[in-house]
Amino acid sequence: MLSFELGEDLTQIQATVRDFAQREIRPALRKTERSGASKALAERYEELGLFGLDWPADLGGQGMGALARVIVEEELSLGDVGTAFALDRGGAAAVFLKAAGGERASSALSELLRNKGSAALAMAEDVKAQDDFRTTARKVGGGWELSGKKSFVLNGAEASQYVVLAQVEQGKGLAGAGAFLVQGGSAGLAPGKALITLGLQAVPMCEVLLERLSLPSSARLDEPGKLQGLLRSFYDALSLVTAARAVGLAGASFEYARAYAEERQAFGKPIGHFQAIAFLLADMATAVDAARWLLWKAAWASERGAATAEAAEAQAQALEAAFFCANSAVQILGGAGYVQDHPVEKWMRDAKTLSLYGLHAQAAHATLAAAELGQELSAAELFPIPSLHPAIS
Amino acid sequence: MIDFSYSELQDNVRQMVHWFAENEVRPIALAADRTHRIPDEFIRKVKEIGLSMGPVPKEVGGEGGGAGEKKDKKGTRQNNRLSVIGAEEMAWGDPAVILCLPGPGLGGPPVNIMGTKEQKERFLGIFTRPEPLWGAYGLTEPGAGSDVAGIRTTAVKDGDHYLLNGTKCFITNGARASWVVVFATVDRSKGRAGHRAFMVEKGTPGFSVGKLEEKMGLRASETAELVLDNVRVHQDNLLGGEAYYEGKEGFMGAMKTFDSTRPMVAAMAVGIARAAYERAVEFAKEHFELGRPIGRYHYVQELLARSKRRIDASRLLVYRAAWMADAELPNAKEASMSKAYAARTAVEVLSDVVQVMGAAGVVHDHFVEKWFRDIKVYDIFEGTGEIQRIVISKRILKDLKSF
Repeated sequence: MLSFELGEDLTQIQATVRDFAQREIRPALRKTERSGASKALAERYEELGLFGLDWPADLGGQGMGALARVIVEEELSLGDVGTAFALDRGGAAAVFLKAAGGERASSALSELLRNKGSAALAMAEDVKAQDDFRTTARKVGGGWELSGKKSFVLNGAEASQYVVLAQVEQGKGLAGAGAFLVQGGSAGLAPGKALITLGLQAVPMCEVLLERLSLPSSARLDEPGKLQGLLRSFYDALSLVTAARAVGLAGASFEYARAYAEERQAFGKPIGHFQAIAFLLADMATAVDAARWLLWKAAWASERGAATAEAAEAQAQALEAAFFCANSAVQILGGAGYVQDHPVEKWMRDAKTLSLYGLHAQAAHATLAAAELGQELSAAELFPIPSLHPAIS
Repeated sequence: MIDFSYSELQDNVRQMVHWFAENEVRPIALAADRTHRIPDEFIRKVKEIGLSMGPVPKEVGGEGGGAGEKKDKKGTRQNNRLSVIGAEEMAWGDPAVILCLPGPGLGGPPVNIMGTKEQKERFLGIFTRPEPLWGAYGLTEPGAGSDVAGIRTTAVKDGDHYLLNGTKCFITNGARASWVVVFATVDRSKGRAGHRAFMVEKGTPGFSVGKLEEKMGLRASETAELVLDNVRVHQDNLLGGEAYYEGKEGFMGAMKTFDSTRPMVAAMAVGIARAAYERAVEFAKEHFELGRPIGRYHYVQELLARSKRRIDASRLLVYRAAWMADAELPNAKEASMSKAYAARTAVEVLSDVVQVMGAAGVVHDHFVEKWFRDIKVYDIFEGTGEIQRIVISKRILKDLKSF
């Protein structure tokens, strides 16, 4: 029937998280960027039940749907997108585990909820483009032995659980790859070089080194030959999270620039009263809304079945809105936008970085185009791993 | 609750209008563009199946719906949503032909919103007759378009009558219309407070067609200049009666019609963009370069995906504005957002589609060449893109009165 009313429950959640984001996340944003989420923020986040919000209740989650999750992520990112990443200690790995399902992944998730640990997804590699991962998983005895180097891993140094993608059968690309669950602190697992990033610095990124890491046979999360399908549902879910954070980032940039344009005077009136600024703000407001509706529609659709094209579409649209709004906000603030007294320079860096997270912008477009053209694209075209340009995870 | 699905009624309207657009509109569209006219046979069919450009209210015997109609008791009015769903499908058939459909057109909403009961019966009731009739909306003048307050057409009270003088231009269906809502000023010094809307009927002495415009696109649609030379209209033709203009509301009533017409025009832009996009997708599948379909190239995929998501986003902005109108929530900002975004998107999509199709995109016997010409005006009429941005700006920036 086409209704755009959120309903009481979701409106309540939205208001609660908005309040948290504005009162606690926003004022601490520079500190969080430097040293991660404070204990106080993390505790409040858990207290509000925001971690595991969309995980099944039998794992200890809140059992809420995708729409609730994207609303929460958007509101957190309205406070600060970097903090939304920092508070989410499950990260992309938890989204992967949820998509994987099965006993091993499920117990990893409930452990994450219980022991307050964190997870990391070691996917991409910083090597010349090719079809196979260089990181290998060899069958040794009754288990596995992993060797190689992963890169662009958020929270790669300190996670209590890792999901690692590795090549099981050479020359088969993703069809011959597997996903493995690794406990933090295992012998043979070590953080590599720290990677200083453009944005989203609240979660440190590094390489992850695997040297003859021994795993039990039960560590494999995917069924052989079914990794691509798993990746598909993983990216579908992650795209919604990414898009929600992008919409929040876009909204924060718009609102910050709007408020500034009302205050800042030039030639005897607020700069917002000049068309060049006002029209830009009008376009920013429209971009935020346009992205949000695609996002909500995709989340709504994903609660009713597979929504690959919708999720990719929402992500690409939201990333465009995020960079457009953050870039415009810096422009509207002028010199003030470029210095760290204001958050917009950070959000502009964050927006660029965000467009390389998960299913990055090009892969999202390729996914959407494939659906529209009825094409069977190769895994290399659809997924940012192992080749093309690798994405952050 | 959030719901992005169509109700059964909405889906039926969508399918019925789409069927008509595909089977009746598309086949005549290219010829209509070249000859600048719509076949009588087509107009007859339109009347037969009961399609109307602009809703005719139930109270005068029409199908109901549209701006100004009272919310039903359950609060489930969905006319605006039905209108935009239908408008997208019809424009998908052809963006020029849709403007030629008989009915009150853009003249309907002001009559509906401002008109007295008698006026509604008199001017909207005619559309329930079997013969095709048109209404029109006469606001723009050679010297006043976006700045509505600047209109110069004068109305001077003369006993029970008003004497109208001035020129209106770019009036869709202006020559064939049975009546035109003509905006005039009784006192220029009063600005908008001096504005009045008159129902000027075809054949009134002194009321004539100046010229019919030759345009870049929408050539099948009639765009007329109307000359008012000492046109005497009875005070019964003053929309809403004198009392209407004494209240604070006054001329702003006319502006309110945009809250439901802008999403509709935006929906048409979505329909055209979608039509062109579908052509590009087909083309990208079938057209080979260097041994593979061009849809296999990343660059083409990028263009198509970008078009697709912006079209879908436009549609949601349209639905949201229409839903707000149905719920009687103030939606001026959202209506303008839908129009600004959908029109710009459609212009860009058409440009990209022509590019994807290469030479085939610019030759006359393909629709995209025509749609490329047609679409530009969607960013101009019913409030230019700039006007939409002024409307939005004023609602997001405090104390912004003018630039």
